[in-house]
Amino acid sequence: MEKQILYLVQQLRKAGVRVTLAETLDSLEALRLVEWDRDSFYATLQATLVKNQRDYRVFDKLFGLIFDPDYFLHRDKTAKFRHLLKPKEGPDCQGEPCDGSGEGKSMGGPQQGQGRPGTPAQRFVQVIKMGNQQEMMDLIREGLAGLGTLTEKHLEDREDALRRIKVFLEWKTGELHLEKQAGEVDEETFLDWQARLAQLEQLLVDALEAALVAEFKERALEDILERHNLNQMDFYQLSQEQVVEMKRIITRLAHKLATRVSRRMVRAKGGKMDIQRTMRKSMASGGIPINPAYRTRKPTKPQLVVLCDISGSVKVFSEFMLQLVYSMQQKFAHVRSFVFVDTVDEITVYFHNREVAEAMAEVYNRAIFSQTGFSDYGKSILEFRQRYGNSVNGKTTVIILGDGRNNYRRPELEHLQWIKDNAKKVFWLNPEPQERWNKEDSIIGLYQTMVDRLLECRNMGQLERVVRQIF
Amino acid sequence: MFNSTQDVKQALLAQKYIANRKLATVVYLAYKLRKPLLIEGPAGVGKTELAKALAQALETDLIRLQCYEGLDEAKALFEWNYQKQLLRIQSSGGRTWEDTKADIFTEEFYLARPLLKALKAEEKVVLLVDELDKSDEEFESFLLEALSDYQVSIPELGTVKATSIPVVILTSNNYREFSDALKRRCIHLYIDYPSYERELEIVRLKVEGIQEALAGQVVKFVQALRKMVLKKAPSISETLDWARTLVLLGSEGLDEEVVADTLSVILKYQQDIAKVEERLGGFLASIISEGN
Repeated sequence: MEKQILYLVQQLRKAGVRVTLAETLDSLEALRLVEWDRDSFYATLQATLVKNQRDYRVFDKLFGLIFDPDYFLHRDKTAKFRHLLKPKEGPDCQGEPCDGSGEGKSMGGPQQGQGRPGTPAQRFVQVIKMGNQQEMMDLIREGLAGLGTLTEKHLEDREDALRRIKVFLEWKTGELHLEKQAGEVDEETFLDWQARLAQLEQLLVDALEAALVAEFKERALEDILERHNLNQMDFYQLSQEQVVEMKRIITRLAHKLATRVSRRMVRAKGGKMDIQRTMRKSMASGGIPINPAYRTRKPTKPQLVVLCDISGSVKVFSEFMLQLVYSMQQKFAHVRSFVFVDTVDEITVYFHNREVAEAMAEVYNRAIFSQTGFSDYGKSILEFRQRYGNSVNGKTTVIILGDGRNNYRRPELEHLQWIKDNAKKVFWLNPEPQERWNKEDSIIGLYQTMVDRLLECRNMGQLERVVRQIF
Repeated sequence: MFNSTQDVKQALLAQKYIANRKLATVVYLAYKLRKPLLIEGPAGVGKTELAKALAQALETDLIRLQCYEGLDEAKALFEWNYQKQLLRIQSSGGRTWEDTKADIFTEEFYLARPLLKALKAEEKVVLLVDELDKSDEEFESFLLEALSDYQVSIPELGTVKATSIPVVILTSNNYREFSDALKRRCIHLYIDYPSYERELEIVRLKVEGIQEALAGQVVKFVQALRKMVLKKAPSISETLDWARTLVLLGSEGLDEEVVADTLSVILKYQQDIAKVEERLGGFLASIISEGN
């Protein structure tokens, strides 16, 4: 048992979850205290090893793969959706611990399942409508079978394997059917369908991963874990769920930055004494100045100008950055943000008093940033200088985001030079991997000479480091 | 006092707090391993409530330390009572400095703040450090010393060791991340929004005189709301407030008028209210039809 737990810890670390030796010892000690059933075992390991809710998913995955593949199938996942199941679908076994393997627990009636006639798409629609767990699993198992024997290729390109399964199951056709019928049902039912769709997708990913691990053992596991390490993942490769998670992290990062500034102010307080206030305060202690008062220093607020390329190639990253800017704009007054593809527009106002999603939508709807759809850094920089040049002064820090792929147009270096000469600092963040810089139409090397720092910024870990350097 | 997870569950239930298996296990572990319990989760899912229930279940005092930005040792741990010390010095007349010094740095002249109170308590108490994420990072590192060895050092008094180790509960709304050092020392619990069954149970237990049908509809409605994209999803405390409101208004079931009138009890942002009001008819139709 100890060995398996140590193995779990090892794998958790590989996935970027920090588990210390002390925590491992805690978990072993804790296991001595509780009864050994599935629930306690799971809860104990989770509470002692994983201290961050965002790591729960990795933990769940590993727990399933190492200890108990059926655990989530029959308990946690269904618990969440349980009230969606119609009672007529047979005995409900999720309340009590399911002993034995999950295979035997058929929740659907005998008439449902394998032998159902109709095209895969019809079955798919049916499954989503009913939300029967067993049928979902059957469907997924069929899909996996449709993939044939698992080979190296599937391990290397998991997305492709997923797509193949979906084609086999006629997933898209099914989704279309559902959307067509959406008008006929009420709101809640439709939301249920969506929840089930997401659930089915997750189940499918889980099943594929489990199958891969069964086939390729360690190698597959490592690959899967890497995908869960948000700090190391390239922004481009994030799955939709991870993007959501990332947005949460970014909001927190922005907050961290804001509080860091406030802490500096607290420190800076211990400067000149404020005699007047010290005297006044000393009245409380009989004229003896026990607590000296200090003059509060006005902190210099960072003035920021952010220029984001939001063309297709760097869109994902720019959106994260815009979100960071959005969160900071709530805290700092002097932030101005601009977007460009081949022409530049200011978007600062769209961020005022709006929710972040709404603000982003507003940016895409209202701002004018693209005429041809191809990035033109030179023209954008030139226009920025002409139209918004007054936003740059000796106190401003300018941050430019983009890959420097100029589609072979004029670089307009002298205008970037002008920005550098007039601003306090100019940073350029490039979301492209360093080995691709200066290849093809990338002229990042040229721009590099005109900025103070050029930084590679392609995953969360780097973004965090970069942001700390800038502020 | 607790000898199994079942004990924890029962004891909490006696205080009208419904614990699921996982929660009971984790609380039991924190209690047995004498480690602080770090509870995270959305606002209003019962984090603070758990601490209160636990204190009552253990039949002991709850000492609460509410965190906020700028909270420092003087407010959390202890502070000398300067005014009183001064009075003492002034009134002591011709006594020598040595005498006075020995006198004014004694227990009589300090104000014990929550942390010190918890450590010096005769009996085991429950120490609730609420919304720790609102405090500054320095405070967090200061707390580490107190939490890892259950002792603090005060220059004039030396090291104060806990007379009996308190049950420590830290809560957080995920406003900011904690350091690894703090997390390492804690047992971690994440409380999410409850399932339909659990929430229904809670409503039945906590809201007096609620009818079965209404309780079911209320919970179903709230659960449906949580699936929408809202600025602030309603939590358990809002469900309870709403259910109580409806009971007070004497309604027997949900209808469009009642819901529209009381929506502000569960939703706290105007945008959210507008969003829900738009679709109210559809929502209610499905909930009421399912109930029958």
